[in-house]
Amino acid sequence: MNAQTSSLPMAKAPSADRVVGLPELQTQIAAHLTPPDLYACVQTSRLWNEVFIPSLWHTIHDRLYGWPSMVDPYGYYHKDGWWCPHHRKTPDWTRQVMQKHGHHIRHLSIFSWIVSSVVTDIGDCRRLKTLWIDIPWSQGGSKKEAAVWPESLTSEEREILEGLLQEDVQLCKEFDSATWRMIWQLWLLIFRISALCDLRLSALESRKLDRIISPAFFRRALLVHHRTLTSLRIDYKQLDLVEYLEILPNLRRLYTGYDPVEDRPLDKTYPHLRTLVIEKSISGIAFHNLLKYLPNLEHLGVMYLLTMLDHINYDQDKEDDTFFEGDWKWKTDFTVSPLLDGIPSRLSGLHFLDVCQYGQSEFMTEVAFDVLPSLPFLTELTIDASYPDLGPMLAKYCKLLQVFRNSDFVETIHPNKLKKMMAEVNEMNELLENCPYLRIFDAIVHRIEANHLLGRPPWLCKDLEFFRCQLIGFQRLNSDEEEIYDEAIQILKTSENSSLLEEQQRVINKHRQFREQHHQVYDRLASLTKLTTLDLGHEYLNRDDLEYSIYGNNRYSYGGRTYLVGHGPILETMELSLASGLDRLGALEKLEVFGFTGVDHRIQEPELEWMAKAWPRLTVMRGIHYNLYIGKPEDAVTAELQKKMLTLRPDVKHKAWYGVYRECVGRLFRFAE
Amino acid sequence: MSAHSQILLTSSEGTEFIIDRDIADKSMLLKCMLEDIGEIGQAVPLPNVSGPILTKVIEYCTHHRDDPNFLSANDDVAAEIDEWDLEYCKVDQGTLYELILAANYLDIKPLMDLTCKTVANMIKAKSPEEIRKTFNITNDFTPEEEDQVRRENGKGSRRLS
Repeated sequence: MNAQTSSLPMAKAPSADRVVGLPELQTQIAAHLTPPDLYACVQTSRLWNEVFIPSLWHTIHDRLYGWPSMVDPYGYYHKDGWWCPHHRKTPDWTRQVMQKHGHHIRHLSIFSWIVSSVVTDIGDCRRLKTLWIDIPWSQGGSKKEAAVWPESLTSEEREILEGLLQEDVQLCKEFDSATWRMIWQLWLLIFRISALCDLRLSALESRKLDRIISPAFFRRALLVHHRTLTSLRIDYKQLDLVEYLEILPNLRRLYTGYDPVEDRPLDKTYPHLRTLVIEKSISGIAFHNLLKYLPNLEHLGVMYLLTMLDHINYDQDKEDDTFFEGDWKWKTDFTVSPLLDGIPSRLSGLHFLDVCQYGQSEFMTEVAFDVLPSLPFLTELTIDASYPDLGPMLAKYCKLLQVFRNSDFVETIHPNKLKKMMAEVNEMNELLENCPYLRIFDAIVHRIEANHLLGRPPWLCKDLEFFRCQLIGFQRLNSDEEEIYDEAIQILKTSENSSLLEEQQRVINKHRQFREQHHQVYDRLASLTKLTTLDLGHEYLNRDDLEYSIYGNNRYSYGGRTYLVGHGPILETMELSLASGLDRLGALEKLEVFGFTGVDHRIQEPELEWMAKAWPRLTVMRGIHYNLYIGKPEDAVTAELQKKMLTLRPDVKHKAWYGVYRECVGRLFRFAE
Repeated sequence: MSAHSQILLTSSEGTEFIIDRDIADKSMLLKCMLEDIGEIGQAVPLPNVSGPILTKVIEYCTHHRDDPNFLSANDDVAAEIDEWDLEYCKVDQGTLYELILAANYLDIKPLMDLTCKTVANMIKAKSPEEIRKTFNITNDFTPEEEDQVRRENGKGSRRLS
């Protein structure tokens, strides 16, 4: 580049107002701002108010930020992973602001009954692209009036709602007047939105749709009217998958609460569907059918696959000789490859959402031996059961795997609570050894023993960013040996030439051996220099037990820390002390999250001081956080540690898994977002 | 047309710049113009861009000339700004706004994303008063209007959406 003449003085520089005043730049700037930032912007000046109001109201999620405290009179609001109670009630305010700003909203996620009733009532949100509704239909309260069709409906509204209910539905018996009002208003709203792309009616309440809404109305008012839909979450069993796929040519994601090919399997190819989530177990045949006729399916999520044994148990009254004949859904011979005509599926994400509680050993065998060999392009697998062949088979057939993850329903990892789950050890180490593209290893129900690890080849997954797994089998001196060790050290300090007793020498050697084991595992972890999350623990997440723990006598103390009876700590874990070689993890410069909840660790103030300096990007620590119900750390030792860490690094948040768990379950499934 | 040919640009004050064609192609405006009219052999006038700003724009495009992800690099809103880009944006506010306007006019999406992200970073986590101070904005609300804005978009000190 050459400037051939000397440049002239610059003209007067433009102001910020000129920049934000350009419509194409407003959205660009607003895209990088959070709602609280936008709220500050609209209070700055009249121009900035005008410019940023549409962005502030563009996306409304009434479970986030200040919304819950204003619109939910009885509920809880979510802050830093915690659900906090509040008691505010302002429906008039909601109505007023929705009337003024509702037309700006493009993405609306409703959790509150008040917001829902206001939005459906005023009907101003007609330019929505996204509508997610996740509320119980029933308003609650004791005074209920029976539902009737309102006389105030206009002729246009009557025309829209014509045929809404199935013929045998008795309105007055099904609903109270307020719930009924919200239902018909909701359908008016859905019909009036011009180009809806993403509609989610959550499973709980939408199941009622099956009983009351007529298929003809559902087809006309929702599917035919909104051919633009790209994402749909609905439980309407009256229609099967074929109808959804035929009517909605742009549908990319579908979530259902039932098996959509149970009664009518697909018999032609539908290339447009990318993600299908079925919140139910499906048969092996249905699984084959989906893989065969949805060639571009990227993610398939099901609870688990029904096995032959399930069918026999479920259908034991059937005559043996007719069992495999007749209706196609009862054919349960579980072999994927022949049914796919030998063509490997291109599926990249397979997600079994809740295997753990069913303890499906047959299912696991079939997944390992029949499913995985047919999925050479698999990059993501979600599963939370443990099985000896799973890791080796994955390592053998799914070399492209990038994400291995336990499902979001993992409530506990303690063996005494996992009665149905097989307690396999080490099987997942093969994944780390053999899958070079692995980035996320979120596998806290799995355990790897230190000695097994050190006897095997190095991990191949050098790009791993997320490691969450139990590392166990670290031996420590018992209390007697510790005493002997201390004595021996004192003797050696006095004089290097002092001779030790045989027992003292044995303990010294043992200690040295244990330390060496720690050092080697630290070094193995430190070789994963791209790690942003290193989490070795998990907390017990059963809400009932947690609530009981406030009043009940179900806690006990171990090593100065408090645990729920029967749930902790995880023993034979790494000490995580500087003496054990923690500083070998200094290579993990990118670490943002460090977790050790439930681990029998030896972290004290010096360790926290080291972490505060060694990991500058650390933002979340899981291990010394508050108990949800008692509002402070469980015990004095943990409380002191948190206090110290807050002094050292106030920017580091102390978070429980509970918030993550609720959030994951609440927003369906992580892979599908 | 050769990918290595050179293009002559003229800034608003008449300063002439000779740049390689692949650098010019980073601007969708220039790319389309050159594809439509071919090599014209004359300077392309850019009346909306001053010489110093054009120098900065060319510096950015030259640094990213071999970047294979040039057009998709900033699609991720949450992505961090890389070190060179961060240093590049350390300019006075007037220059930053001129860069935004030039990127918008020349249609260089990654530069527009970068500069808008920089402005957004100047807004983040600030109170309305701090924003006014940063951007030299006069508060032209009446006290009643200010109160109304707060009431409608948040309640009391709570932030709304």
